[in-house]
Amino acid sequence: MERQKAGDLSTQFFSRDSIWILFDPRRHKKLTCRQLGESAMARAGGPITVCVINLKGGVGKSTISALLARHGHTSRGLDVLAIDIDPQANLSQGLMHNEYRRFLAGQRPSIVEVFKGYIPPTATSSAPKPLPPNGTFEVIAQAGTRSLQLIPSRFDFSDNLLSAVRPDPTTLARFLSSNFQHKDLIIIDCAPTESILTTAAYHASGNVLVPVKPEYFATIGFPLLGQSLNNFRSQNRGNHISVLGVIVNNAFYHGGNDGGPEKAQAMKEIRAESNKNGWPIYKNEIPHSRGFPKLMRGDYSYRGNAQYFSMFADEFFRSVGL
Amino acid sequence: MKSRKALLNELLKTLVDEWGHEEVAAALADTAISSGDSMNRRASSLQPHSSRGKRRLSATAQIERAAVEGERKEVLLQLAERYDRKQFLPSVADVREFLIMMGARPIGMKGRMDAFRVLLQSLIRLPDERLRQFVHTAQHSGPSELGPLSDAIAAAGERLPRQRQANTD
Repeated sequence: MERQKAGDLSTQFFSRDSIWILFDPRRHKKLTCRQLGESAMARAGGPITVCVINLKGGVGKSTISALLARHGHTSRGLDVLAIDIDPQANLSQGLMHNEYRRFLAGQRPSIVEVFKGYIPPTATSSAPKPLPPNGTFEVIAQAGTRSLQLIPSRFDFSDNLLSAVRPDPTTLARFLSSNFQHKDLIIIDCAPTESILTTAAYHASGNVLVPVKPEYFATIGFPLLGQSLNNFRSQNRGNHISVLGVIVNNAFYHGGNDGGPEKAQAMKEIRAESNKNGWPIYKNEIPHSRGFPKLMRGDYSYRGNAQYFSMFADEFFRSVGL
Repeated sequence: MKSRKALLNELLKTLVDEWGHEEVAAALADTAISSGDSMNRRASSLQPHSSRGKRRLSATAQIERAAVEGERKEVLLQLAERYDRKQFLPSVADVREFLIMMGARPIGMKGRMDAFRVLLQSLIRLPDERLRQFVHTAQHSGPSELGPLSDAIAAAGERLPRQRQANTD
């Protein structure tokens, strides 16, 4: 069931042929043609939708969501939509950077309005307005006809939702089915809590990606997530949702001892819990790197080991057939 | 402890890595002329005269010379002015990332002013609407800082109680 037997990771991880995928000029040229829209067509089966979730916090959900969305657009030439349903809005800040301040100040449409179903009156408009048609929320990048778009979140998201009379968890799924069938990939960054937001993400996704850190408490969210998915399946028998895999994040330092005995113990527990739930584990791990927070901040001056993210990204995109 | 010369070399290397040799040399020459410092005068006299002649054009000057007209030129000029003020893609690393995100190849860029020449080839292919977005957006204005972001969140939070009050009235 596992995608790998964790052991000789370092050897596979640092194989030189695949490290520079993102920077290989031949490959990049080929992808550039796709990005320019020469083969711009919606996928026959509609978008691949993945929610990134773990009911334990601090495992890298937002960073992985942001980097997969960016990698999908830049290196795979995909038409991508990223959705932030975490009220902490870290994905939004990681993709919008300084523009997130203007987004807040300008009261621009967000996931809050998607759940409300309309844009409420503002200081300059006394009447409610319809939601932006066909996904004109925030355009992060555009290459030809393909783009990376974002439906951002706000910190008052859960507050707004819970204050609604009857929050409907199928709202997001219905909104996506009406407006974003042309996308190749939809990535939903979830909050680390069991709530209506989690159920909304399940309704909107066919796939689940589970980031985990190989440390004590690593698998604390697994039973909760397993139970949460089982509850959803039993209550929504027509919905198919499966776990694509577990991605081990912040796994080791380049040149270190691969985490030492503490990581080995945590990996044992991760493998045991994953097997129990029938969840595969991705072969490529994501290393620790100071480059990741820099990328989320919008500082491209230093990537460090963050450049190796592309190895997991390629495995991920192969696993979903993109 | 590093010698003064080693320290100077290290500082210069950092500057050259960021701005390129010619831009740094030109800036040094300007500094020497304006300060009247004899040491700087000597440094500027060591610069080959040809490097002054080859001084890079600013982004604005490049747009002024480009074969574009009308509203499109106006938008590109606004963008170039922001680039010259380092409000748009403030480092060469930002330009590289931006080009990759646009599906272009970030090659032939030694310094930030070189980079604008490469960047312009991509910008010129974009529709006016997208260019205008770049003029009015802060998305490509460099790394974000948490301080101003916290202020923006606090300001947005202050609006909420009034909105809730309005909803319940």
